[in-house]
Amino acid sequence: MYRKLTKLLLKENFSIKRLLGFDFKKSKTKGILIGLALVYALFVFFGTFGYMFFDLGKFLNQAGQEKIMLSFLTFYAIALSIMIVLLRASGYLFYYKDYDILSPLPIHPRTVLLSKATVLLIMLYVSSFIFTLPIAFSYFYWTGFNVLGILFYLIGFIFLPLVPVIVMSFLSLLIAMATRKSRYSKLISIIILFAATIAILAFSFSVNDVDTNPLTGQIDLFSGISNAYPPFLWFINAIHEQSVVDILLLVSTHGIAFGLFIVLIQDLVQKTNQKGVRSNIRKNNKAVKYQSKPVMQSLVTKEFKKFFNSVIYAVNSGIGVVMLLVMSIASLFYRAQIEDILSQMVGSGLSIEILILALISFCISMTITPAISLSLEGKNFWIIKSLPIKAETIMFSKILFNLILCVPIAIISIFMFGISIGFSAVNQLLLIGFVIVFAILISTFDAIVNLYVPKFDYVNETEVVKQSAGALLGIFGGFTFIAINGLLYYLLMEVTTFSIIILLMIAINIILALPMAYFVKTKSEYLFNNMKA
Amino acid sequence: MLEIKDVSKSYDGIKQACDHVSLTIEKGDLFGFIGHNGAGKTTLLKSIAGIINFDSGEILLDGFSIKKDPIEVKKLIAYIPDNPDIYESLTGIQYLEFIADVFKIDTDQRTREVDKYATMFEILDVLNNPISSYSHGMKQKLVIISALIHKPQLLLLDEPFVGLDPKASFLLKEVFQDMCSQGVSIFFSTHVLEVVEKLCNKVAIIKQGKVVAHGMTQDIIANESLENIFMEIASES
Repeated sequence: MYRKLTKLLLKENFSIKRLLGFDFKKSKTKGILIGLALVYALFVFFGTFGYMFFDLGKFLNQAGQEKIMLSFLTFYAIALSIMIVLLRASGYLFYYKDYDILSPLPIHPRTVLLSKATVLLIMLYVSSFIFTLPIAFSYFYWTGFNVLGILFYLIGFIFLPLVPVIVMSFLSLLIAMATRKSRYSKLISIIILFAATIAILAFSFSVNDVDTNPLTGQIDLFSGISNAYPPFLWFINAIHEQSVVDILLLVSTHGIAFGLFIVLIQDLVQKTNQKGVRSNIRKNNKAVKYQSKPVMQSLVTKEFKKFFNSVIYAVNSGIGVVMLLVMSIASLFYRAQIEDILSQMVGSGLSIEILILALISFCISMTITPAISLSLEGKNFWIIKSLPIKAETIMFSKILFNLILCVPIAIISIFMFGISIGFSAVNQLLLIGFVIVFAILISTFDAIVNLYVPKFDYVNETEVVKQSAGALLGIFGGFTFIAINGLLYYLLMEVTTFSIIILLMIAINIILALPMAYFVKTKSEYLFNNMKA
Repeated sequence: MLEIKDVSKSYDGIKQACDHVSLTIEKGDLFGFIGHNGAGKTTLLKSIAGIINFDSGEILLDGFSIKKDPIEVKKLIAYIPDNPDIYESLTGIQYLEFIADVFKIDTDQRTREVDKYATMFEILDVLNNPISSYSHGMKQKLVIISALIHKPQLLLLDEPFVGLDPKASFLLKEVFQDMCSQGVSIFFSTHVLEVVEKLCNKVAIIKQGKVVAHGMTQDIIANESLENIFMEIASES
C-alpha cells in the first residue's frame, strides 16, 4: 500500500503535465519553448553559481583545503532543507488537504504519514541535489572522481537532512499552531519566512575577508560550523576520507532518529489533521461597511488580498523587494560592505550607480506576480471570466499591482543608497526614471508570459509560484532584460557619459515595453477565451 | 430573450459535449435543464456565461452575441457554478463588494440588496469573516447573493440546490419565483426532478450533448411523472 500511495502522491505532485501546466504531447511548440527556457536557466545557473564554486575549488585545491568545499555543500544542503521543510512540513504532514479523502480509506495512518514524508523528502532531495550539484562537481573534479566517495556522498546526502527535517517539522507545526487562529496568521508566517530567508542570505554573504570570489570570505565560517555540529563532520569525513565509520554514524543516528520521529508523531499527525486548518467560525457583530470603488482599484485590492494571504506567493515574489529594502537600509550603516558585495555580484570596476542599478533591476526582475497571478486564479477563474470585465483590464490590474509592489520600494531604495553612497540628485532622478520604465517592461513581459502559459490545474500554490513555466520564464526573462541593458551599458560606457547611457537605456526599455503593452491590450481577450476555466 | 442557436462544442474534437443545441428562453421563464452526468449541461451553461468558447452556433441575449459582445451580455447575466470556488483570501463582504464594484452598483443599492439577501440566507453576521472559514453551504449562499445583488436579467445556475440546507433551498425557490414574476429569466440545471416538475414552466432534457426533449413542462410531462419521462429517455439507445 505504501508504494501505491506514494506513487499516487508523487504523480499528483510532480507529473510533467502538472509541473508544466499543459500536456506536452498536445502543445509541442510550447514544450520546446519551455525546454529552451530550462536549458537557458540551467546555463545561467551553472555559469554563475557553478563557475564560482569551480573557481573556489581550484583555489582550495591549490591550498590543499578541498575538504572545505564539502562544508559549503553541507551548509547549502541543510539551509535549503530548513527552508523547504519550514515552508512545507505543516501542509505536508500536519494539516494536509487530502486528509478527508485518505482518512476514511482502510490505510494505516502510519502508511499515509510515511508516504507524505517520502514525498516531502523527495522534493527536498531533488531541490537540494540540483542546487548543490555544482559544489559536488567542483569537489570531485579537483579531488578526483572515486566510486566510494561518490557512493558515500549519495548515501550521506539522503541521511544528512533528516535531523534538520525533524527539528524544522516541529517548528513548522508550532508556527502553524500558534498562528492558525489569528486572522493575521498568513502575515505572521510571511514575516517569519522573510526573516529566515534574509538571515540565510546575510549569512551566505557574510564577508570576512574580501577577495575576488565572494565565497572565499566564508571559508573560516564554514569550517567553524563543521566543527560545531558533528553530523557535518561525519558527512565530510565519509566523503573525503571514505570513512566507513563516519558514514555508518551518519546513517545510523539519522536513520534511527527519523524512524523514531515517524513512529512518535503518528498520533500528533492524526490529532492535528482531525482538528483541521479551518478555524472555528465566529459570529461577528461588527456592522458591515460598504464602499464603492472603481473596478481597477477593486481588482488591485483583490490582488493585494491574494498576495498577503498566500505565504508561498508573498515570500517568493516579495523576496526581491524585501531584500532590496533591507540592503538599502543596511547601506546607511555598512556602506563599504554593501559596495563589496555589489562589486562581487556584478563585477568590479563599475561605477557605484550602475552597481546599484543592477541590484535594483535584479530585485525587480524577481518580483514576478504578473507571470503567475493569472494562474493563481485557479478554480476561481470562472469568476473573472463570467463578469463583465475586459480581459485587458484584468491583466493591467495585475501589472499595476506588481508596479505598486516594487516601484515605491525601488524609489525609496534609490534615495537611501543616494544618502549612504552620496550620488548626485540628477543621477538619483535618472535611476528613478530607469527603474520605473524597467519595472513596467518586466511586469508587462510577465503578464504576456502568464497569458501564454497559464496553469489553473494545481493542487497547491507552490506548483504555480515555484515550479510553473510562468515563474521560470518570468524570472529568466527578467534576467535577459537585465543582460540587454548591461550589454548596452558595456557598449556605450567608453563612448559617452553615464547620464546619456541611462537616458538611452530608458528609451530602449520604453521601445521594448510599448509593443508588449499593446499586445496585452489587444490579445488578452482572445487568449482568455481560449483558456479552460 | 436568450436564444441558443445550433450550438456545438467538443473538448477533444471527437466527442460532442454539445451537439447542435437550440433553445429559446423567454422573459420570465423558469427553465429547468436536466440530463445525466456528463450529458453537456455545464458545458452549455458555461458557454452561455462566456466562460468557455463553443465551436459553432450562436448565443444571443437581448440581441447581443456572447462571442461578439461578451461584456454587454455579461452585464445582463449572473452565473452560479456547481461548486462555489471563490476567493478564499477575501471576507464575505469583500467578495460582495468586489462584485458590486464590477457591476457599478451604488452604495445605497448594495447596502439594501446585501442586507436583504444576507439576512434572508442567514449569513449577515459572518460576512466579516474570511471565506476560507465558511462551510460549503455558506459559500454557496454567498455566491447566490453575489448573483442577485446586481439584479441580472438572466440567471444561470448549475445545480443550485446542492449543499443548501432545506430552508435555504425553500427561500431560493421563492426568490426564483419572485424574480420570474418581475420578468427575469432563470435557466438552471439540476438532478432534482421534483423541483423542475413543481417549479419550472419550461424544461429541456439533454442526452449525450443533444437536446432530446424541450418545451412547456406540462406538455412534456403530460400524464406521467418527469422521473418516468427522464428514465424512458435515458434508457433509449
